Amino acid sequence: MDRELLRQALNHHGPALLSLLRAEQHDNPDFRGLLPPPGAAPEPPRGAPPAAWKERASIDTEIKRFIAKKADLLFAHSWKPNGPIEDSIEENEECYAVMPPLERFLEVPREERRELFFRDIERGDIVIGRITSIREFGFFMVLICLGSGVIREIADLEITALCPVRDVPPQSNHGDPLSYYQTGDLIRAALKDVDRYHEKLAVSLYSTALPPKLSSTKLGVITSDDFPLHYKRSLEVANTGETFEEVLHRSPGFANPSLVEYLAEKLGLSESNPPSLLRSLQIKNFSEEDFAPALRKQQSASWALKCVKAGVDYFKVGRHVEAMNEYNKALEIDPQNVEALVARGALYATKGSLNKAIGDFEVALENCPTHRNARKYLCQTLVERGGQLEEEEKLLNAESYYKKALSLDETFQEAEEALTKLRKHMQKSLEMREKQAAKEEREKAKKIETSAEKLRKLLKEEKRLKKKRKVSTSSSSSSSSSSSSSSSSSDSSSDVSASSSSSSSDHKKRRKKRRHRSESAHSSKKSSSRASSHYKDQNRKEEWYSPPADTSASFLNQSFEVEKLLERQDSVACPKMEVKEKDRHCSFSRTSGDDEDTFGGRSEDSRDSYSSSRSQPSHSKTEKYSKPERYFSSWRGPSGSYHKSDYKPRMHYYRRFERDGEWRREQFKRHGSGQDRYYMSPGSDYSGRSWGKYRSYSSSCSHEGDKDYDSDRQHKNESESKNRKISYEDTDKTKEADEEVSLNGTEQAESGVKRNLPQNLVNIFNQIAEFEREKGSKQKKQ
Amino acid sequence: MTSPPRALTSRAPPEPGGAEARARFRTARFIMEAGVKLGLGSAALATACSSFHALAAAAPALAQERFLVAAAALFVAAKAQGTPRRARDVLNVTLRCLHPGSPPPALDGNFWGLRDSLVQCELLLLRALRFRLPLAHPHKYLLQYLLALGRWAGGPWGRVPGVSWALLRDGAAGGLSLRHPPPHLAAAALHLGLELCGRGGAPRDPPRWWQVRGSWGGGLGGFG
Repeated sequence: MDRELLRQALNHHGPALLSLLRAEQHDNPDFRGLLPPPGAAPEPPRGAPPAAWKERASIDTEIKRFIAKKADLLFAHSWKPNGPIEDSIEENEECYAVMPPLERFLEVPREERRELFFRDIERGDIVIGRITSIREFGFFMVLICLGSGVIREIADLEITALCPVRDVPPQSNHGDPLSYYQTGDLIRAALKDVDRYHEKLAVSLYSTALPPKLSSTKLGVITSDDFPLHYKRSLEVANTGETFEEVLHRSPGFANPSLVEYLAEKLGLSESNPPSLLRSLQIKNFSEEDFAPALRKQQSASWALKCVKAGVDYFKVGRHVEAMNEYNKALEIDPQNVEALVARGALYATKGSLNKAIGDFEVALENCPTHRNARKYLCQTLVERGGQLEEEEKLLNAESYYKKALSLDETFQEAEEALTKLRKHMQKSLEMREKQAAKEEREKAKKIETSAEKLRKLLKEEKRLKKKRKVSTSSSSSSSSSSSSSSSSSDSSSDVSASSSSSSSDHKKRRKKRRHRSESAHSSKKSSSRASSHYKDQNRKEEWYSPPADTSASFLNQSFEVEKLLERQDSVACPKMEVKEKDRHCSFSRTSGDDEDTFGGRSEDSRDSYSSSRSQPSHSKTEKYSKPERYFSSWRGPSGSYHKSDYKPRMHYYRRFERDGEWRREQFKRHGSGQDRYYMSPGSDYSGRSWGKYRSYSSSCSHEGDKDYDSDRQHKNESESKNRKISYEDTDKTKEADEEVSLNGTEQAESGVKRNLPQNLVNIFNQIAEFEREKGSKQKKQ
Repeated sequence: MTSPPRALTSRAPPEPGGAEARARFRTARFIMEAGVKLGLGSAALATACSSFHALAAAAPALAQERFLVAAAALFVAAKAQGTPRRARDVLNVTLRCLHPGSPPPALDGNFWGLRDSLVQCELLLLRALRFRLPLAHPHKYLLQYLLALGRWAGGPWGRVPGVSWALLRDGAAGGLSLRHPPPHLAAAALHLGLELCGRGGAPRDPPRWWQVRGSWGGGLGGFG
């Protein structure tokens, strides 16, 4: 009960209404307390009714009776109070008929309008006026109309406002801001100060004087086109003398079909919750279920259910297609129908499309979280799907499915079991995968590591040995180099990431290249300890049987054996290399080698094929070297310190190699010059040229090779052809060689290696050439 | 603004308070209720009520089938006001209004039969009205008046818009819009709204539209 309103009505209508009210609403408890005692009724405030309204009295009583009758509805709280309207309605002629202010049609005395204007005007309102005089302290303007807030007819009121100089923004950097304005200009300004008592106004041309919602309005000089619509209308009316109704019908906005909607909303009248004074139409008495959407939903649901039933019947007799059709129809009728979703999900599940089934069940559960069957089926389907995924080795996905199932139903035994099983499986496979990854890495790294460094050594040795001797080699076995280079380049990315922790970025590029080179070199070196043809084979194996499984020892054995042998040769070959670079690269290569080692420990079976061919003694022998390396590699700290620590053990066996090299030198001499020359020639050539000239190098090599070392080339060609054809004879050969090694001891094996070495060296250099070319091209690109 | 067809208005309305008038009013109220439940706007509701009253005046025999005509009037009025409702919804709601608490009808042959008769009745209604639906409504006048008056009056004005809006809606159920031009109805509703809220009379020197109160008394009779 709105007491305020009741009092207002009583004030207005006088005591007659009160008695009527008392008669009508005597049984309404709300009114009993509210009605003032009869004596306290205030005097009717209104004067004599206008004489024009003849039937005033009868209508008055009629109205009073009506009020009394409807008082409980009329004064109920459910009405939405309607505040002032001006704020929210913008002047948009398309939405509604913009009318001139009402007083344009009334004959309201000026004084009253003036009074009303000063009563309602507020700071921040927009006013529009014409400049009447400009003084040094500002200009005066006569207001024509209002641009916001209350809409009033003020053109004839001759209200003046002052715009002080300080509120006029300068138009240019110098000069009087007022010089821009002239008498007669139309100005839009913001009201800055209102002195209601003295009826004085101050305006500003700065938009900071505007309230935030109007701050985008441009203030200053305007043209008559910029007048607000209502003022334009007002001017028209002044000319034509139209009535309110005529203007209304004429204005385009009045024909807007959605005018009712628009204005009703703006005026706070709700169309969805319409007010009514009819008792039977009080919307609060309507139940929500009786509204059209609810009814339709109910109806659809029952219809859909019917379809589902039919579908289930089909399903029971095994007619799955018809069943599916029924379910789909049900879902078309009622897309959120839980039963239909569950039934269709079950059908999907039986047909094996588990993902669809899961989707349906999930939607069903979303709509009805308590649906037991949906939950049950969903759990089962999830577990089943998890099992499928498990078989497909998508373990993580499977796990998430199991987890989901468990989160739905914590007591679901099956899911729990499956999950624990899966976890075990995952652990295992994770380990396995780790091993594999480690192995791969290690392989790569190892190849890289040893090769560059060793190469350097090799070159050094060779150089030292054959300083005076000018030898060139024909080494452009493109096939072998390309094969190795391609594999190494594919590896390179992972290499970089593995060693990215080390050293500055500008080294990276080169290091990478280095590693390529060294990798290939390494692989060739390795094989060099065996038959030359075997090299290819092994190289391939390493490249292509990516996840080899063996003990690190066996793997390392091979490589280190090779290393050793190679290093001996190195020491013989090239003593004079750019020391700086070498060192750097040595460290790089070592890093990578270490990486390799860490993982190499877990390498697996595929390795076996050839590792088994190695003889045991050599294993044990090289193990010595592999161990310290592994130790260091397992400690992967910042690269710098890493290198350092790594350095010592390395050096240890380098020295040994060198010693061996000394011994070997003699052996070489003994063995005959052809071979000797051959393997040295690349070294000397290598050392002879600068780093940048790789292209020329390769060509010159081949040239010289043609001249001097036909036999070498033969060798090479042989190796090339073998490289192309993976023949398993090679392994046999190696085996034989290995056996030889094991029987006759290291020396023999080494000599055997020597024999094959030239071939390997050729390969190495080819690879180097390849890499340099690559590097060159990269640099070009850069 | 088109005034209702002369043929319809010229017929004498049933005497106020008579059985026939009461029955018509009840039907109109039924239309209002169903319309609200269908979510129709005031203008569509007024159209439906006016259509029904017009039909009752033009073809009293047809109007005996009250609720079917009412449903058809709602159906066609919703379309005419650009807010069409589905026949199924109209049937659902009207059936529910007639039989409160009953479940919505099953979509069987019976229902489709009902739907057919609804469509037939719609056509019949239109033909009886000579395809001239009483579309002119006082609502937009009232809104414009409210706007203008609100601007003139300045401050807040309580529930006057709501009350006058309710009066106008309820008046439509009585078929007032067939008897008086819309601006008059709007003005009358506004004035009565002001009176009911105890908001003193019209502005001084009312404009022309302010004095055309017509025979409002007849309208009041409708509010049972």
